[in-house]
Amino acid sequence: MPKQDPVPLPYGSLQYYQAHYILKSEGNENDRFLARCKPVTRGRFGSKRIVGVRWTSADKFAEALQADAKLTEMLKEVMLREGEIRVDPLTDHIRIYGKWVHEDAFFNQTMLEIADRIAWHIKARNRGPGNQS
Amino acid sequence: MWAAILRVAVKHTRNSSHIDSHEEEHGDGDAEPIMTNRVDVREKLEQEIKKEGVDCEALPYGSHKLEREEAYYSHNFALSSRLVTNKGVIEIRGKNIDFVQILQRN
Repeated sequence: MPKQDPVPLPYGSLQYYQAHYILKSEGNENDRFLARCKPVTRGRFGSKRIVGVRWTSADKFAEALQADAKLTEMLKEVMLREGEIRVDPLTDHIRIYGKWVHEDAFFNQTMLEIADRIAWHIKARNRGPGNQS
Repeated sequence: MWAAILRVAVKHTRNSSHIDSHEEEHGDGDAEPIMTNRVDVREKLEQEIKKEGVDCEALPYGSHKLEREEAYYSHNFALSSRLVTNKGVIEIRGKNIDFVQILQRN
């Protein structure tokens, strides 16, 4: 249960944070890494559980992420909390982030590993199809 | 006429003195002060990442190029936040990701 400020300020920033995991990626082809992961759930409220994840992207990048069984297992752990994971390419770097989380628990070790795994896929695709393993 | 004005003035001073005495009796002086120790979010996150065995370093606030960018989102996704505050950048070593940037929602 997050600790709420008993006397919140009526103005200014909220108590919600977002960690952006950033990967440097120079080049004109960053747009092909635009992707989003959504959970496939079963049940409602307290009995809600993740049964799978679904990646969507404009390019074939989503297929590579969907095929990674280890990544899927890690995602199943955090998707109930993260809600959605986005891979957001900008001009010289790519950002990976989830939703806004309360300041008491906004860092998650599994989320760091997930971002690292996605970054590995991005680097593998940047290197070329022959170097992927 | 002067008597009426004087009466009002006297009333007013009485009221104000009553308010002052009320504050002394039940004012903030009686309440215990709430002491809060706020740790910088960037340093807190750095400690948590280091605890997991990842080599990282919190960069000085505002020193990195990422913090001075106009937008932290490409806005290719619908409903991307626009009003956010940068809370610092942490450099990660020995991983595929290079930085972790912390943003606070406005």
